Amino acid sequence: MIPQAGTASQHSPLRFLDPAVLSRIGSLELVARTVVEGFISGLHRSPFLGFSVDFAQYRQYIEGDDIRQIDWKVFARSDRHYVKQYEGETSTNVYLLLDISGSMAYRSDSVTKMDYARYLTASLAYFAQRQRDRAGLTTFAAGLVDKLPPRCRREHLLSLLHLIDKARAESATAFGKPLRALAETIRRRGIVVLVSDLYAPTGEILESIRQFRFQGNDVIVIQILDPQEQRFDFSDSVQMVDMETRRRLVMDPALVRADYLARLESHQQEIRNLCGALGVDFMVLDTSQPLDRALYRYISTRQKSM
Amino acid sequence: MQFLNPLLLLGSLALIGPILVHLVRRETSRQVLFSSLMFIRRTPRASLRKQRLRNPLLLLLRLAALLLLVLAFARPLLTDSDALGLSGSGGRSLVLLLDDSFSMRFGDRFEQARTQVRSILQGTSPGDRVQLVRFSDSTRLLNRPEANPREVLSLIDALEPGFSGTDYGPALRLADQLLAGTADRSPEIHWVSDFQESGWKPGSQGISIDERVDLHAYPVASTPGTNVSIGQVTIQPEDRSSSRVTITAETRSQNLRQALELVLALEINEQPAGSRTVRLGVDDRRVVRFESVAVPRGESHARLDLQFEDSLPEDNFAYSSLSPPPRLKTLLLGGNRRDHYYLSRALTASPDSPIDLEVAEPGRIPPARLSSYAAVILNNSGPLPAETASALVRFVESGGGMLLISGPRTHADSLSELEEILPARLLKRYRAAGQGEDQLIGRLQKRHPIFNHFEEVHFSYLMATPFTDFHLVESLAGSQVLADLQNGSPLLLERGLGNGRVLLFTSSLDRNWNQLPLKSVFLPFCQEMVKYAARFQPSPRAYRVGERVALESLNPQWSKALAKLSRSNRSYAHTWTVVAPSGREIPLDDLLGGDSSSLQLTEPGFYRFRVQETEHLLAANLDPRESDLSSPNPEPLLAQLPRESRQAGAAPRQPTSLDGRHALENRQHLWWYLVLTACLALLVESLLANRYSNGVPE
Repeated sequence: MIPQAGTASQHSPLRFLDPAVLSRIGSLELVARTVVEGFISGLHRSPFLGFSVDFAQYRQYIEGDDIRQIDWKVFARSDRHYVKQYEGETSTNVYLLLDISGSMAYRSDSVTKMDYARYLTASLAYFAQRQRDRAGLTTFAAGLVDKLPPRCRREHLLSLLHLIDKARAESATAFGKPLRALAETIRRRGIVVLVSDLYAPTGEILESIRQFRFQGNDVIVIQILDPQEQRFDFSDSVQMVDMETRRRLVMDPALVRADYLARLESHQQEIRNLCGALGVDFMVLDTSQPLDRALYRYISTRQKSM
Repeated sequence: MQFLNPLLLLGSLALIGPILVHLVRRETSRQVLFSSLMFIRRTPRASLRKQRLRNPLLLLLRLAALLLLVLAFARPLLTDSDALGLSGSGGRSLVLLLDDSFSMRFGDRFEQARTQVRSILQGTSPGDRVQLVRFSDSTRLLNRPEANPREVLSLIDALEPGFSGTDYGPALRLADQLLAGTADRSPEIHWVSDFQESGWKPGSQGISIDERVDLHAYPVASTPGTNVSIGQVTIQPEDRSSSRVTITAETRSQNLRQALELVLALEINEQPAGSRTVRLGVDDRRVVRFESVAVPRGESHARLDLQFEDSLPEDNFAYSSLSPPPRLKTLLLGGNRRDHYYLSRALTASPDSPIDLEVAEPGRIPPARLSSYAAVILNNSGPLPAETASALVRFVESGGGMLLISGPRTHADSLSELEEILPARLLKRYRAAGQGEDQLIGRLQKRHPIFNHFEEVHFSYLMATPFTDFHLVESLAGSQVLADLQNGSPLLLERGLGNGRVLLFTSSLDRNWNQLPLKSVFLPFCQEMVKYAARFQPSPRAYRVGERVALESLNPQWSKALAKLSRSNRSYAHTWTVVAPSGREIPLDDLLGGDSSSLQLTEPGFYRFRVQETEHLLAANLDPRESDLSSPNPEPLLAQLPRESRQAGAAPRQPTSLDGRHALENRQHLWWYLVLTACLALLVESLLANRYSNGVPE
């Protein structure tokens, strides 16, 4: 069951999910904690749900927990509310795949796609750690850049956040080689979250996703786009420089706009269709949107995987 | 379409500007980093080129506004064929020339003329085009060709003859221009006039009419007119104070039945001041003199009345001002009495000289007094006191005139303090070593205002005068040589400094260095030099009806008041009243139009100017030639009129005379509409540009 979300108004806790606000926070850990705790406090119910026969630990009841999970015997003994947690809820591996190719450095406003992807990945890692999932991280561009296997410990989260923090957008994008290398190392199925602008041939992208899917993983594909990439409303003649290939093109945006938008839409539609066929969640986020949509989708997938 | 200033059409080259700006803006397009070009197809070059005109409306508006402004400055005018599309339809094109000069007031001449024009109009058919032109010494087109005959008839009913003289030249020229370009129409000029001989002015020479034009003349004076009139009137002062004058008037008679004794009465300031009896024959001219007429102090005026009842009573009167003419207050500095004996006599000896001369030594005249003089003459001056020299510089810079005459005491050093205003720097004295070494005048600007009143005999005396001594000089920047000697050394130079003016005569004006003072040309030469240096403009005692008089010339002190009025500051308007002889008050707008304030004289008599507390009278007389009522047969006159072959069907001949084109342009005022349209285009351009710049994010 997916909890209901509040709106990211000025006085809502979800305002902390606004990327523009987050960009002013220096520490990535703090960003992740702000996002996740703000997200959780905005929910009517706790997202940490699950049922398993393997008891793991007691945890103090927090507002929003289902009262059915309260251990009344413990309450009778200690006059305090505790809920039981089970092994099944914390045993999922979360593989976060972060695209750090050159195109991710684009921004038309205060937040680059890279920053947005960084906040999102950090938040997902924090969220996973919060519910005792094992989170791992792989950064890639033209090849595999960094890799951290899934772990559940607090120190691991810090390492993971550090890795996210030091990631810098570079070179071109290639999905095939780095993701194939990652797929070969996955021994236990889990949730694979791919965060990228997906500026690569659809065949290459889907070939990689298909591998993860065949291994029994749940896959979430999150495409990060800048609002300007979706509008393409430059007003005057420009010389455009490709941030990955440095290719230059003089054009009049008004003349190419319709064609550009059609081709982008076609690219997204193709990915959406094939993801649908593979049972993969596909979502498009733009950098002006709060991060909660991605967290909802993650929770949803997380529940499905249990 | 023609243009008064076609050279200004070169301004249309400025149209390249906006186009270049648009192109350059597009060439230097911004560089933008973008995430990926994988979804962008390369734009074909042709599309890019096309794209350069993305805001074609804006560009078009800018170009249109610029073009309209250029056209407006070039002052376009539509000729007949342009304006009316006279490109077809056959029929006749008629120009009716109707004489409304003063002579047409005689008897029923003008009524005859009206009847004649009506009769011509009744003979027109619906396809004909008619243009009515009234003329006297000026010419005016009264209707557009598309007007129907009924409208033209109503115009004729409203016309009355005026008091102006006659000039056929401009009227014929305009008629010829109006008919130019009517290749497919039958052009006709119908000329209704009394055909006075005096209407052929010297400027009428060289007029020609297209040989296709049918020229019809309608003389309206079938019977010779009987008339007496006053012709030329002269006022000669008997002394320099003008307290007594001799008035001479020419009386004339024409076609009297018999000799008559008539009384010529003189009124001064509307009071009888005497009369003379004059016996005039049938066709006669007699001069009548009123001698030693006492003129009251202050502003005075005289009216002469030749008492006889005829059909043209207005020319029995003559009007004149008796006020003393303005004086030119002049200060003569330097030298001694022997040096300026001839000069001072030349400037003051004649009773009609306007110059009041005061002689002083340079050191004895307080510098502050200089401003009360219009001109200062430095004659054979030695070194000047520093205070006097600087006062002279200030005097010239503030608009005064100075005449510097060289002499034995004049040296380069003595004039060093005046060098900033002098036309030349004195170098050394030239002395003719013997006979044959003296120099005659080499070149002379005969059309210069100093010399343009001279007769040929004056020039011959001037050019034959040997100069034995003079100063060699080096011309300074801004000076002009008016006369030089055979060896090329300047004799007379001028330099203008704002309103001030300095003349330098490099020889002396006594008999030591040349024999000029013994020549008859000496007197006018000296007087004209002083008048020119001081910008002295004597105003006549009477003007001619039809003349346009610059008001500042009547009284220089009015210039400030006129400037105030010209700046649309009508709070001073109540201090100005101008009343015509008929009692009609002349609106200020009629006086203040154009660059300078002026008054067009339209009737004989005294125009009264009441400016603040003072009253000034301006006398206007009829053209005496209008009183000649003889009406020669126009046929020989028409036969002599040059005809010119212009190719039928050729491109319309455009008005060639500048006056004609100015007249057409003034009537059409196309530039005004062009400027208005340009302003509208610029307004729309601003709105659009604002919208584009605000609405489209970068």
